Amino acid sequence: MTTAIRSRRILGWATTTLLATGAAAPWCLAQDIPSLNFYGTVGGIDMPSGLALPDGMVTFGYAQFGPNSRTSVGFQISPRLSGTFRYAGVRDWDAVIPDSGFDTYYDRSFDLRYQILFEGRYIPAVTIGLQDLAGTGLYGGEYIAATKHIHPNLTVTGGLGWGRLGSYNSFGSGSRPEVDIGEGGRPNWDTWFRGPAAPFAGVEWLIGDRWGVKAEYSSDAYTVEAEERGTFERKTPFNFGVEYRLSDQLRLGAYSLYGSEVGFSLQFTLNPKVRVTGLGINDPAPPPLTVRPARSLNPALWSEDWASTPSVPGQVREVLGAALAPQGLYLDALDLRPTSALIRVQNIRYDSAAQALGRTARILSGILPPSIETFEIEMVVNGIAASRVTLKRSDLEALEFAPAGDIQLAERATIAAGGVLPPEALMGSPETPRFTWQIVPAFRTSLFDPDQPFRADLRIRAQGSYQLAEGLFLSGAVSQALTDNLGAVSAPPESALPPVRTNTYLYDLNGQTELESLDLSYYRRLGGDFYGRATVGYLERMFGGASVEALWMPVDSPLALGATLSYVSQRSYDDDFSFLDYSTLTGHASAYYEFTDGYLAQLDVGQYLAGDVGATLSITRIFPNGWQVGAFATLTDVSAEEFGEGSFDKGIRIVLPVNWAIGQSSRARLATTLRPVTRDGGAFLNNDRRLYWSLRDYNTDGYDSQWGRVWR
Amino acid sequence: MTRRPLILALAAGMMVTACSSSQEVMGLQVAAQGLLAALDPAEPEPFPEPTRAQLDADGRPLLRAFIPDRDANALLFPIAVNGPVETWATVDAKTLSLKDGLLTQTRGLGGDLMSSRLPPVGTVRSGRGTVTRMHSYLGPNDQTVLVEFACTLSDRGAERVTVSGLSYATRRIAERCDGAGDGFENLYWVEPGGTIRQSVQWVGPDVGNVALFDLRR
Repeated sequence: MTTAIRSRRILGWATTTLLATGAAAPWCLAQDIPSLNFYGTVGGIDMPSGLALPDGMVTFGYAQFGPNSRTSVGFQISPRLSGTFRYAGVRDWDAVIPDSGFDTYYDRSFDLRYQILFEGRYIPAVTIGLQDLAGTGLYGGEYIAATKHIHPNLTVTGGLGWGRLGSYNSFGSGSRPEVDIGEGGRPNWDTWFRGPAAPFAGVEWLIGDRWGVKAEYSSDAYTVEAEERGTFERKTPFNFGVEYRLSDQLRLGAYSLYGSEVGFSLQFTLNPKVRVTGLGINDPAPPPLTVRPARSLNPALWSEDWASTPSVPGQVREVLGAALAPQGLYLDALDLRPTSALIRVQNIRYDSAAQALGRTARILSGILPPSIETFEIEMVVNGIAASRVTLKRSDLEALEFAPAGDIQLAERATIAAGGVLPPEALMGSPETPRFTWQIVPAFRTSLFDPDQPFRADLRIRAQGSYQLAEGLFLSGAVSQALTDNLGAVSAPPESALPPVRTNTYLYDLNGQTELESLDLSYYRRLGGDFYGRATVGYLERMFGGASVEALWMPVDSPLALGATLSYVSQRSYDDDFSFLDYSTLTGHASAYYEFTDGYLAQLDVGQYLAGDVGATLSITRIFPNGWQVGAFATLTDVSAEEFGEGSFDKGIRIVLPVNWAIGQSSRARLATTLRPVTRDGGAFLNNDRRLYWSLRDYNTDGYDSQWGRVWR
Repeated sequence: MTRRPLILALAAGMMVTACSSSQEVMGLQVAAQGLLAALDPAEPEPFPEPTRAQLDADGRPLLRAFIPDRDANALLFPIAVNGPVETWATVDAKTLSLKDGLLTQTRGLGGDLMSSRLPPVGTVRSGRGTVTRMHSYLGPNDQTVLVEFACTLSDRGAERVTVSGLSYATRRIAERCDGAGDGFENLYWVEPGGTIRQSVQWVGPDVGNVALFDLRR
């Protein structure tokens, strides 16, 4: 068994001490959150500014004026860097030049912004931005923008734009190279900051807490939309608007644009670091710690004689199981020795491992004989003891009310790999369910179809899992569509590859009632820091077969290495338990590395579902409460022409934890992956049972990231 | 909660239909109740304060607490003792922990006072001098945030107070504290024997003050 002593990284918890300096209170949340422009990035109305959002903010924006509508998702990746994905439509595209066959032209675009200067007393905030850096070029433009607060409520912006943002009253000679579109999706780096440039400017004035007015001079001539295609008339370069902040999260705006159009916008800015309900978490109080009387006062109570009474462990199991269950904690195994106890617990409620640990320890303090001084607590996921935390009962008693007792307890707790159960250990308790089930609403979407860019069906899903033996689970999920919109999705352009994902529409066509998965999985620790999984059955809605995984993951290491190997066949479209005649071997070697501050890099190298070979790099920012925002890209030996639109597979993934929305502990989360286009190259098996994601909650970082909740 | 933005209602709406073997799915009940409460803010029930006769007949120690910012009243009973700290609980699982009558922790209020370093109770009772205190809270990203306060004590003079029908001779002691961006004033009505008969103590920026009345004889 490998034993790892926790590194005492107090600074890792970003503990801050603030003295009476008159600085803003550490819990002060009413920070000045800059407003968004029509592109969903920080700025005025149609122009950007030099400001950035507070680190980690997630934005959703919708804006419309005249024929233009823009929907965006943005993320402040770091204090300086942000990214925005946008889906824009221009109505009446074919009114003058009927060449596309679509009434509305849709375009996906992606921006990156980097703040090169933070605002100072005299220095403005300066940001460099790349707009539509990899698309067809309709929205392509680059800028450098400077913004200064003249007064806390008044900002002034000036900037210089290229490309689209340098198209009105421009200066400078030379021309901007044409974008070589190809299959799209590749950076147009040869056009950046090339060709004529033009200045833009704007002001924003905040009135009180809720109202703001904006005015700007736009350097965008709308050459294509206004001059060439006549979708609207651009009369002046001046835009005006008024915005109202409805809540901390939502801002609404109404505008006059280009002297001819009325516009409106809706801006959601969400802070993953702070729950919608505010700081802290609204769980009921934990059970109190029970403190033993001093040994000198009652030596008999501290006797170890109980250990020679064979009935004690059974009684303890019964009482302990009943006490843990109301807390959402289920006793999995128990081993009592005269001065120590090993307890395995399933945590089904707490997103914070530390809170599950603290509540388990409090309950143990009220039930275990006083002679038991050492608590070894192992949280169990899928039958695997993910790690072992060792706590001294006397430390708990001494630190329950100590100032910053959480920090002191962390110094004395040790986290190690999960151990091995001795043969005399007692398993389970009457409260611990073998069968768990859920009925949940589910959404299935089809995005960016030119006929109808957003289609969604509401489904109702029943899923269940039966534990046949330790680590052995029979699991399945069936779902029923309650609406029928996806059945109308048309076939995507033909693929040069086996249609492993482009035929999703055929499954949607027949997917009213669907057996999404039915499989048998076996999980176990193989020894040391090695873990294994084997799964056989209908693995996902489109593939079935057999899959094995191995993972090396020390509890206190930022690095984990794994491998998966699957042999799968494509399931029939109409769910009749048969298979189509496409079978393939797919598998990856994976490396996971967790940087400080919650950035996780994952590299998967191997063979994908269509038989293509390559690698996927994912960078994900993981917030302690479970929010995740990540981006991934896959390059394989499939050429851009074979791949089709988009050139290669890429996308963003967002995980929204339910605890953040409701303010109470919950392990539920809503996850969504957004791809600009889904093709057959670089496709993974949709099998989210990777061991890494279930075990990382309980490694050293998992405990440390929310350690303050150990006493909550 | 006063902050009940749109997203919560959305989340709740989605979850109302969910159910499971364990009722753990998506905080189902909580979300549904939150939504209903937001739609139908019922009139607050008048708080049934026990009479002295009822207290005497019952015989158990009780504490009354009132949170002005939430217009919330509760009776608390002792559930645990750890050294000088007594923990009191409401029937709906909110707890206050008091060290010699000074509030040292809360749980279940949201924005809880997670831990604290309090001034010596003797100095507080004396009503003279300057002291420091430290509070800890869960901040953004659930990180522990420690806040230091510098406090000045003053004796506001003798005052008779009536708690549950009994009258007590006390001195009113004020503790004025200033810290990073926040300030507060705690008030303690201290009997000659040192008992803090009633008090108004600051929990934190989310909860505000809690008024405490010791209903023991």
